[in-house]
Parts: sequence; C-alpha cells; structure tokens
Amino acid sequence: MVPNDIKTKTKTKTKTYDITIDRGGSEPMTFTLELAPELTVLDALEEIRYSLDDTLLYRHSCHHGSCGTCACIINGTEALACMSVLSSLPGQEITIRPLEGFPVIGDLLVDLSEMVRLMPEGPCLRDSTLKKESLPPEGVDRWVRFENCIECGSCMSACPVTGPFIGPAPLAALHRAIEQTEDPQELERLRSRAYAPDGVDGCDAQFACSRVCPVKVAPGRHITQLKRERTS
Amino acid sequence: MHDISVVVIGGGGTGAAITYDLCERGLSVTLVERGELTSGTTGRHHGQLHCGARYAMADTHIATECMKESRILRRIAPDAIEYNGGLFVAVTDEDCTHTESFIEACLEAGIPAQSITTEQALAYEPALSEQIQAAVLVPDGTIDPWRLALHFFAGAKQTGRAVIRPYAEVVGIETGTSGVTGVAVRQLITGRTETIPADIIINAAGPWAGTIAQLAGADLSVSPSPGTMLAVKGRLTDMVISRLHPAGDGDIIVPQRELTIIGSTQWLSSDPDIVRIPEGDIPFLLRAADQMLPSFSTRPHHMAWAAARPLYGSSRVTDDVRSLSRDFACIDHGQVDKIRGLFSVVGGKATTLRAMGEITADAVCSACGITAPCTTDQKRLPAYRSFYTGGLYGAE
Repeated sequence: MVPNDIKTKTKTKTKTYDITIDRGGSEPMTFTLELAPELTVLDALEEIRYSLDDTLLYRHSCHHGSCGTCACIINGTEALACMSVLSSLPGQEITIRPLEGFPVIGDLLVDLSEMVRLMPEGPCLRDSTLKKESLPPEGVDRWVRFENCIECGSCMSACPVTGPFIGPAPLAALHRAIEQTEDPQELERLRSRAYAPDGVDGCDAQFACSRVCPVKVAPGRHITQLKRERTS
Repeated sequence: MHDISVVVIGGGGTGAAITYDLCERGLSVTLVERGELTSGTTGRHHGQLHCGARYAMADTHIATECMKESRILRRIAPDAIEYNGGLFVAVTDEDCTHTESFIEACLEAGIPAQSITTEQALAYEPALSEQIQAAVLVPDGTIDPWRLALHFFAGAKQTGRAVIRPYAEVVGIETGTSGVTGVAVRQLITGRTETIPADIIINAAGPWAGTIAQLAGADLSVSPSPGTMLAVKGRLTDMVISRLHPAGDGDIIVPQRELTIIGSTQWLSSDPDIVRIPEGDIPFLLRAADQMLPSFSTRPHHMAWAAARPLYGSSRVTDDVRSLSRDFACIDHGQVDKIRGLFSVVGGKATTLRAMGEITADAVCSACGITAPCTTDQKRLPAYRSFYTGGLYGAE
C-alpha cells in the first residue's frame, strides 16, 4: 500500500472550463479551471470553493445522486451537480444558477423548506420492486426500499405554473401516500389536500417536472393520475 | 436547563448525535459546520447499517457495539433505514474455511448469524453468483446517510436548545487562563467573522479534526483515509451482500433506492478537502463485485465517488491501513493538553453515531458536574423532514 497521495494522481488530460456562477441580482462570476472531463459540476464547484473563492455557497452531501441537496440549473436545465459529468455537457463554458422559485440565501444555496413543509408525512419506504419468490428472512417484515423522490426541488424549479400551486413534488408525494394509506381518515385528509384549489387543478400539464426529475419519479404522471382519480 | 454554552464543530453524523444528546440533557448547543450539513464524510459513506458481523472476527467490542446500535437506530430512526438483512457469501474454497469461525465470532458478539444453504441464499437474492459455496444470514441494512443525520438534527432542534449553523467555518479557538472561551467563525453567508462564546468546545470535525485541534494548540493525530465507492444503475439485491473473508477492499455491496453500490478501497491522503479516485479503483471494484453478483459490471455505470474517513492514530508509517482502529475515541484535552473545556471525538462509524453522542455527552456532563442521564436510545426521533420546520437552518 502506498501511504500517501501518489496513488491518487491520475494521468487523465485536463481541459479548460469556464464556469459561470450566475447568482442573480449581482454580476455573474466566471472562474477558469483546468479539470479532467470525467469530473462533475460538483467537483468543479469544490475546486472553486477550495482554490478560487472560499465564500462560494452551494449544497452537497452524497456525491452520487441520492441525497438531493445539490440540484441547481446547469446550462439552463435543472440537474444534480454531482451527476453532471463535465464531458457530457456541450462545450467547456458552463453556467450554473440556483433553482427557481425558492428563496436564494446566496450563490447556489436555496432554502427548500417550504417545499418540504408541503410534503405529506411519510411514506419514506415502500415495497421493493425486485421480483422474488422468497419471503424475507425472519426478523425482516417485508422487502423494502427508500422512496425514489430525493426532494431535490428540480421539479418545483422547472414547473412553469405561476398561479397558486403547491407544486409537483408535494403532489407526487401525496399521490404515493394516497396509494399506500389504509386509514380512511388519513386518506380523506390527503385527498382534500391534493384536490384543494392550489392542488392538482393548478397544474397546466406541461410535464417539465417529469423531464427534469433526476430519479424518474415522473411527478407529472402522478398528477395526471390524481386528476383521473378525483371522483373515485 | 444548564448555564453552560457548548459549541460543536462539525455538521456530520457525529456532531448531529452529540448535539441531540446534549440538548436532550438540558444543555444549549450551537453547532457550526463550514459547508452544508453532512457535506464532509457522513454524506458520502457507503450507506451500510452494520450489525457488526464485518468486525466480529477482528474486534468483538466493535461488533457488539454495532449490533446494539443498529437495533437502536432501527427503533429510533426507521424512516432512514432500508432493513432487509444481509448475507455473507463464500466465493472461494479459502473463504469457506472462515465460515465456522465467522459464525462463532458473530455469536460471541451477540449477532444472530445463521448459516443457510446456498439454495436458500439464491432464493433470497437471485442475483447472487451460483458459484457461492456458503452463505451466512446477518441483520445488516442500508442507511440513507443524509436523512439519518437530519433525524438527529431535527431531534436537537425540537428541544429548542440547538442552533444549527452551516456555512460557518471555524477560524480560531480562543482560550483564557481557565480554558476555552470561544470559537471564532467566518460566516460564509454574511462574510462576517464573529466569536461564539463557549465554555465547552467539541471538535467533531472528522478527518479535519486534527486541523481544528491545532487551532487550540492541541496535538491530535487523525489520518484522512479516503475510500472509493462505485454505484451501478439498477437494484440487484435487497440485502447487503458481503464477502465471507477477513475484512478487506471491495467486499461489501449495498443496495439503495434504484442503485447497487460496491465499496470500498482505502488509502491515505494528506488533504481531506479534495479527494480524487485513484486509477485502478474502478476496474478493481467491478471485478470484486462480479465475484458476488456476476451481473454487476454489466449494469450501466452510475457514479463513483470517494470521501475521507477519519482514522484516529498516527498512520504515516504503517503499511496496513485497515489494521488501524475503527473504534472511536473521545479525548478530553483538559486532561491531556491542559486545555480545559476542549473535547475531540475521532474515529467511529455511521452505525454507532448515537453511541458516540452518548459517550461524548457523558464526558462533557461529567466534566461539568451534570448528572442528567442519556435518553437518546429510548425516544423515537422526529421525522427528518421536521428539520426544515421554521426555516432551513433553524434559529439564526
């Protein structure tokens, strides 16, 4: 084992990237960096934070598309910075903006708390989608997995609706909760939330939410189903 | 309520659990983190809820602790855990020679490991290699690292005694004749530098803990030791799959959401800020995964990432990094460096975050003459989403 950093040096050729952080309100700032193309936009932000601008505000945690913290608008489209590989983007000029529709605390840092407040409590887990003949072992109630939605806010940002509307992420979560609940009172509560004036009727069916969702929750499909199930 | 100001440095799982425990005991705590919460090591860990089986042959104490803590976490934070159990599988003849001693070691640590037939293992997880020669069932699971930490932050906030301040970088630790007096932080959001008064400072900065200790003139040996994880698209199993052999590289596969993740490798780094994946790690991990789940490398690549683990103890001269203790230590710098009020917490692992919180809070309370007992193993934590109540980062 090599007990130092030597092992981490790669032979990959770097390219010159111009990364523009468009903070909105203030002048956009462009940083020029030499980066290996297999790195991600999040890696670029980390390089900027540690070598060029130690005040840069951005969110990140898991670095593999599971936590949902690093969503921002990259070259005009909502995406997770950690899953946006530089070589997959056209050209070497990249513009990054904070998500739309959320209060911007600074740079790329937005406050998602209003969206989270609109999400119904649970369910965070659901049945596994793996097809298996075997029941789980003793001590495991059922084969489970986390919900797909990582609450990243991309769908909320991309949604073109400007009127009163709670937005795609809470509606998709409401629909999942409606499908899973077995409590009639809870069902009634969830349905009245989904069909409130700022609920499904606010949706223009433009499906921007489904297009940008990084984990394929397809909120637009959930909303369409909610509309169909209104009278059931 | 106690009239003692505590500042916790580091917004990872450890800092979250310490803050929650101290607040539950009636202390007021300000937590500072230089980036987003869990943006250091916690958020990037493999996501395994360890029942302790992996450590059973090498260290019964750690194994016992993992079993105990994984049971507690399943009770207090069920929404952050996919609990499907785990399998240790023997791939080679040599692996098979460990089966009996592995099960014995698990049982000795209180882990209900159970030998099952390979047919049964394949029924549980059809994606397993048909070449496996033995299988042992253990109570492992999958953690959502960000949301598990949020549960603890939410619990701390719910007490009304916690102030959680991300984007606040510690730039100095102030001391007087009777010990620490405050923490100087640079607020990234406002650009201002200010001093937060503190009677007690807890350094929970993970691989950065050595740097923080230096600010107070204390010597703390922490080695940033990164490892690589590799995720492919598609969920191949529900259970955590581990190789039945002495713990090594690339021998754990953790499923999570629609992903399957193999890890890890391990090397030593001097800089925990920027960690790049070493050449060779990805092909190595793909080969290692295929030995247990042959379709792993055929799945579309999702992402590879690395993060620095904090390992306690000097390791610059050792050849075998995995021989370093995986256990954690709470150091009272009042005892070892004559810096009263400064504590450092180093090492440990995600599964035992609550215990790290308890042990650290015990040490702090003992130093302050507070007798409130720990209750964090009893109460179910509030929903992780409740962390967002009252604004993203709480009272400012």
